[in-house]
Amino acid sequence: MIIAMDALVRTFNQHKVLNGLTAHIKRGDVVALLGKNGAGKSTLLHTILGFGVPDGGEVKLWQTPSIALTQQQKQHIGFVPQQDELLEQLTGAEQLKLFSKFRTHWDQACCDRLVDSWKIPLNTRISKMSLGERQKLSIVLALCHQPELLILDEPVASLDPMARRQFLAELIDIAAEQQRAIIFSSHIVSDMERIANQVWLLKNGELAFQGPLDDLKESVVRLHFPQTLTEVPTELTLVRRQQLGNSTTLTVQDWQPGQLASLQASYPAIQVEYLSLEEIFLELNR
Amino acid sequence: MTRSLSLPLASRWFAGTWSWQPLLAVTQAVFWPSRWLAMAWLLAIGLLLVGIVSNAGLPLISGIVGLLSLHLSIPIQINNLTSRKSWLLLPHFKSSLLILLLILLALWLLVITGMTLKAASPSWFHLPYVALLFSLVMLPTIYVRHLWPLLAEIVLLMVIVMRPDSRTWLVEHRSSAWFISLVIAMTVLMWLWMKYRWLHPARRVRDDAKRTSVFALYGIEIPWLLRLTRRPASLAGTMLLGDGDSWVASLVRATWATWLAPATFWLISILFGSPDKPSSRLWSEQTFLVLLTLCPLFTLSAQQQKLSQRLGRCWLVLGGCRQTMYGFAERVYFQELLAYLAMTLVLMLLLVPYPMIVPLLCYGISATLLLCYLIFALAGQHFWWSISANLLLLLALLVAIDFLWAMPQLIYLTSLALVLPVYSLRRYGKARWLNMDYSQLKPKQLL
Repeated sequence: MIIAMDALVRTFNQHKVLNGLTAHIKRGDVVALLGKNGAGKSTLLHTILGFGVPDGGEVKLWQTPSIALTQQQKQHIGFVPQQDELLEQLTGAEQLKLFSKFRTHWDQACCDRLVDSWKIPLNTRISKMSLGERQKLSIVLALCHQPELLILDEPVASLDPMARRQFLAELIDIAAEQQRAIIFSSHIVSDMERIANQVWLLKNGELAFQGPLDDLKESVVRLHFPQTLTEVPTELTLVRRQQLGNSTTLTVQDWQPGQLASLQASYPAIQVEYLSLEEIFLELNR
Repeated sequence: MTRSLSLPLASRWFAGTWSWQPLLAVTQAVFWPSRWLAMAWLLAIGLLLVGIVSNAGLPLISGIVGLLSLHLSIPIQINNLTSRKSWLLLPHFKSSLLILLLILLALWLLVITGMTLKAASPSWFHLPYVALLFSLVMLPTIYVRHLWPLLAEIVLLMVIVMRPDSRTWLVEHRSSAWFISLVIAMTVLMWLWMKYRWLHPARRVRDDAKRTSVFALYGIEIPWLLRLTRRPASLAGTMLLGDGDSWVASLVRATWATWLAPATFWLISILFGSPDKPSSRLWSEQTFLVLLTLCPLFTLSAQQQKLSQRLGRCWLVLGGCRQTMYGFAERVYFQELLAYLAMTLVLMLLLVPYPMIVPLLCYGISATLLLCYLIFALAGQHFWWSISANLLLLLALLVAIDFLWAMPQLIYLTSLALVLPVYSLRRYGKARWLNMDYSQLKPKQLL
C-alpha cells in the first residue's frame, strides 16, 4: 500500500473542506481526482504530501504518517504543483543540475529525452520562461527521479495540445509499468479518462465515488424512455430527470446491468446510454 | 502640473462624463486592501485628531508617526496594483491613481497650512518642501516599481541633514526665492514625468520577475555575483533560501549587504565632501555607524521574511519530520547571520572606533535575533500584519540606537532587553510551525 487515508478531516475557518475521507492507493493505481473548483482537490493532495496537518483521521504513505516522512520516502515522491516552485533566478539547466545532484535514482536519459522533445530552453533564466515552459520543466523535475508516487495537481493547464499529448503518452508509459502510483487532478476530464484506472470524485468534502473507472462508467447511465413517465421506477437511484416532448430521460447512478431486464418488462423500448467520464462528472455535479 | 491634471478632470466633471467609481475603487485598493491596514489607518487618524483636539503631545506624535509609517504602504500597494494587468486595463486607472496622490498631497498641504496658521508668525516657505518630500517619497518608488529609490533617498537625506555645513547652508537658503523656485520646479517636473512616462505602454511589456536574490532587494542584478550566490550545499537549503545555501553564497551575500553602507557613504563623501573636512571622519559619524548596523539587519530580515514563506518548497526535499523544519530553518538562518557578523566585524575593525565595536555588535546581534524570531513567529500570518510588525520594530530599533548613542552601558542593557523575548518567541514559533499549513504560504513580493 502506498497511500492509506483513514477518516481524514481538514477544516478551514470552521468549514470542513475534507470530511472523513477514507481511501487507499496501491502500486499500479492511476487515480483521477475529480471535483469542482473549491471542492478540496488541492487540499487533499497537499495533505497527502504532508504540507498540512489533518484535523482528524490520518494519512499514511508507506505506513508512515505523511507529516513524518523520512528523506528516503520523500525521494520516492514526484509532485507537480498547480503553480510551479522553480527557483526563478536559475536557468533551466542549472535547476535540473541542482536536482540531479541531490536526487537519487536520477534518470539523465529520461531527462534529456523530455527536454529535447518538449524543446525546453535550458539556457534561459526561469523568470524569463513562459508559463508553459516552466510547467514542462516542473514535470521533468517530478518525473526524472523515477518516483514511486507521482502527484499531479493540474499539471497540463498551461501546456499546448502537442505537449499535453506527449505528457500523457509519458504518463501512460509509466502507468503501464504497474510499478508506481499516480494521482492526477485536472479539469480536462477526457485526458484523465485516457490514463486513469481509478476515480475519486470529491463533492461537498466527501468522496462521492471512489473505485475503478470502469465501475463508475457502468454505474452512472442515462435511460431513455420514449414516453412520458408518471413516476420514476423505485429501483432506480435518480440523479436527474429530463423531459423532452413525449420522451423522458433519466440519469441514474448505482445502475446494475441486471436491472435492464426488469425495466424492459414494463418499458420495452427503453434504451441505455453509457456516458463518458466528463458527462458523468457533469451529471453528478449539477 | 495641477493644471495639466485637473483641467481634463474639470472638463469631464462639467460635461458629466466623469465617474467617481474608478477613483473610489483605487482608493479602496490602496488604503484598505485588508482590514488590518484599514484599522491601522483609522487608528492613526484617530490618534492625530485626538491629539489636535485635546492638544496632548503623545497622541499627536503617535498619530503623525503612524500616518507617516502608513504612507510607506501606499507606494507598495500601488506597485502591487500596477503589476496586475487586469487593473492596468481599467479605464482611468492611471489618472485615478494620480488624482488620488494629488488629493493626498493637497491634504498634507492643508494640514501644514492649518498648523502654520496656529503659529505666532506664520511663514509659508516650507509648503513647497512638504510637496517635494511627498513627491520624493511616492513618485520615484511608484515609477520604478521598487523600494530602492526610497531607501537611497533616506540615506542621502540622512547624510545631508546630519552634516552641520549642509544644515547651515539649507537654513540660510531655505526661504530664498531662487531656492524655493528650484524646489517647486523639481516637484512639478516629477509630476509631469509621472503623467507622461509612468505606465507608458512601451514600459508595460515585461512582466515583473520574482526577485529572490538578496542583490535584487536593491534592484541590482550582476550575473557573476548571482552565479556565486546560487552555489548550493543542499537542495532543501537552496529551496528554502531561494538562493544558494553554501558558505560561499552566504559570504558573498553578506559582503554585499554589509559593504553597501560604507560604499554609499564613500560615494557621498566624494560627491558632497569638502576640503576642510577629511572623508576619514565620515566613518566615525553617528549616521554611518547606525546604518552600518541597520543595513545588514534590514537585508537579513527581508531575507528571513522570504525564507519563512518558502517552507512548502523545502518540505518535500527536507529529510525529516515537521519537528525538524524549524531547526533546519534556524540552521540556515544562523549560517547567514554568522556570515553577516564576520563581514560586519571586518568592516568595524577597519573603520569604526574600537570602543564602539562591542556595543554596536551586541545591539546588532540581539536586534537581528529578535527580528528573526518575530518573523518566524509570524510566519503564516497575514502578510501585511507580519510586514507591519517587522517594519515598526525596525523603526523602533533605529530610534532606540539614536537615543542611546554615546551611552554604551545603556546599549548593553537594551541589547539584553531585546534578547529576553527571543526565547518565548522561539517556543511560540516552534509550536506554531508544527501545525502550520505550508501550502498556504505564498511568497509575496514586497521589494
